[in-house]
Amino acid sequence: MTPRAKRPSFFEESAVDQILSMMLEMMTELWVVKERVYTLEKVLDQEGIDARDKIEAFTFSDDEITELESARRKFIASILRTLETNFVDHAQLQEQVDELTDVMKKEIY
Amino acid sequence: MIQDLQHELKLSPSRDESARQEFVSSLRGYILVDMASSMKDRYEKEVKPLYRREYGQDPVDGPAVHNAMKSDLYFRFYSSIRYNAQEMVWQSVVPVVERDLDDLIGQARKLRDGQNKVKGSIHLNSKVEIPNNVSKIDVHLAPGSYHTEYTEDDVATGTIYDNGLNIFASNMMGRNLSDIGDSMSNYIRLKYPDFKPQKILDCGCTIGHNTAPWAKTFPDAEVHAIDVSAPLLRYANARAQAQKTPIHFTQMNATALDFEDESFDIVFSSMFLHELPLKDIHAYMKEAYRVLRPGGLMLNMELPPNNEMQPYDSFYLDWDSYYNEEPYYKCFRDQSYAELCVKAGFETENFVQIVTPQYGYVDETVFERAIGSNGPIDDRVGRLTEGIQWFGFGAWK
Repeated sequence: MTPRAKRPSFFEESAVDQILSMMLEMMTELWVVKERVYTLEKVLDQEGIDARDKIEAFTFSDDEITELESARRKFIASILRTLETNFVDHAQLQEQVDELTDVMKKEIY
Repeated sequence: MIQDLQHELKLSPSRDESARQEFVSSLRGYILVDMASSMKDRYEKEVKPLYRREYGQDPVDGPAVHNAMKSDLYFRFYSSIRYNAQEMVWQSVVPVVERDLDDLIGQARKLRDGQNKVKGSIHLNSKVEIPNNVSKIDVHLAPGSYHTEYTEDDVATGTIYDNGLNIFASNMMGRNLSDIGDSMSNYIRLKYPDFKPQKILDCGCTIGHNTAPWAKTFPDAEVHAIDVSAPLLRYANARAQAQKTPIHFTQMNATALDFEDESFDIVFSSMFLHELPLKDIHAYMKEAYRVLRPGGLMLNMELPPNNEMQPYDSFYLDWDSYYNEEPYYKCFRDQSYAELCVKAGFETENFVQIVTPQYGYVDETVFERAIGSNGPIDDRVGRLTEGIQWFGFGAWK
């Protein structure tokens, strides 16, 4: 289904083009879910269940709150996880640089 | 809301598939109207003044504007999002077509062979070669381009085109995707009331969406339509039969018309020339001249020429040439359209150029008034946006 065409790169870093494509796909998927939820609420309305009001008024139990908070934190962490793995410990790096410098100085002098 | 196709050859998308198509349609509308407007604003307020400071003058033509815009972040986002949206149009249609293909082929066969046959026909010819400008590239990024066949009696390419175009157009090309043909044919009917064409030819007709209006506007005329692609023609024929529009479809290359000299009153094309290499444009026009009767008309609906446009508007339309797999587009629009006609044998004084409002979107009185004025080429001519105007040119024989 990929068209025979050389995909243009509009940004200096071609990864940016790729990420933008992914973002547009994500936007589409999110919209599809939103439209489905909307439809779901309407279907429930038709069945005599006032979905919107019931959703607004719904209160979570303590167990459900705990479950949601945990799921929410996991969701945020999973999207931002690479920030953690790519994080550079500058203090450690500086220690390593100092060590190397000492070694080099010994070898030169 | 994406309009329904105006015939029974319908796809059955799931709820989620429809939602996906609606999203892509809205995205296209956003790009072509809102983002296009922002981008022009940005050009006027930032890019052009910066350029003037550096070079002592404004960009003189489309390419100069393009060069100035290439490093602008907004242009990059506009372009990347627009390119993606184009791919997404096809991607939101192809899986649905694949699922429904057998049924559609069955329906097309029935319409072709059926009892309620409307006075039309289809003639395929496997000896017709697919020219490079169709076979070597996926035009408009459509997978399979115009010509690919996957099975016997295949109509996939036509179905993809009809449904894809319907999304692509964001309700701006008419109820039956026929506003171009409606506008052009009614312009001729109203402006030249003594002209009664008996035989009309549409070249490069694809699915016949802009052929049908000619049969409707001139019901006494015999309407012919040609294309090099068999799967497009099969679909076009089924579509025309389903809509009870009499059209004779033939697989043929417009650069070598298999028709007698002086056998047509109108030779028409729409959004066709810009997909041809220049030598094929010359060949087609010579053929058009040959098959036209004296007093007949060659009319090509197209995008306006670069030499009559402001540099920014020229750049805006040229985008498709660089980024939408339409490599012949700019070369065509750089031509003098009058010279193209003269080279084919038409007289200079018989050259015509028209700008029409959208026939299906304005009152007939407004339309008639517009015929009188033959409006200037501004940034709504040829550009898919609100209040678009269609451009056409050609010559009388």
